[in-house]
Amino acid sequence: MKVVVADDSRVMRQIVIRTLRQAGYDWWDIEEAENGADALTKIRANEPDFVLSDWNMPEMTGIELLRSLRGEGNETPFAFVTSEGSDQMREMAEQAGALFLIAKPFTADTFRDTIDPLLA
Amino acid sequence: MKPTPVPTAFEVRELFEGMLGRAVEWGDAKRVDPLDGAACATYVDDFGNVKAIALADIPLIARAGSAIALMPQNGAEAAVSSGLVTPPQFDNMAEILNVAASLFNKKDTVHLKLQETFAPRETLPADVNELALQQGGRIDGALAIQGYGDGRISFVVAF
Repeated sequence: MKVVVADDSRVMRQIVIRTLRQAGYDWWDIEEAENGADALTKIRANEPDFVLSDWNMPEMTGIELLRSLRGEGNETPFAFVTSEGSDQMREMAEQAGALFLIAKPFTADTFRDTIDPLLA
Repeated sequence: MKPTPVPTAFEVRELFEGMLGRAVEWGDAKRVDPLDGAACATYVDDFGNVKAIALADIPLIARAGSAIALMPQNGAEAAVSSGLVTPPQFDNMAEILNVAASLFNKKDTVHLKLQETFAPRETLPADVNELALQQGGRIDGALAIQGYGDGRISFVVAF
């Protein structure tokens, strides 16, 4: 399974990937993107099965990335991992077509409980 | 809306354990003094008012900032003995302090987010300095990070 993880913080990308591995997704082929624009290029080129993105990023934010993808008819499953998880943001994410929003800090259990039902 | 809560020792320890991916112990310690050099994060409400701050001393920036990126422990010790943290150590600590905004946000409290993170010895705004010295509404402690050693942290919530 090809996955793109987008976050402008390198250390946060490492944490997301480490937590995914701890949650049992060590078989995922993960590509990193450092902002929304970088992610958009990589998603167009490599057609991943899943995108896990931060919200606040330079160049292009996570929500802009999601809207761009949906705008061009790209329906790649998409979810947010953000340091803010207000009700308003959750609503925006859902309306734009995101599967879920996980707020930082997160645990391997949070990832497993959220992602497992979607993979089944 | 309820007032912004002061984070508990348990919550702070859990945050660091989760982010560093290793065991962290909480212990009593004196408060972090910005004059000794500390990273200072400010948290604001939706109107831009500073409602809370976090202060991390140099040993914590060096050790947690190294541990989170699996950087060698001797680099952390070099920073502790020289009193000078590296830019990656500071950036990594800033990332932890960004996520620490979650400690202040409960279902029925005013929403706070990170506004800015000041590096050690950077001049702090007067209101931030004042908050750093506030007696009540705070928690101060030491975090012992498995394999890296300890450092101190303070969280202060404005009345």
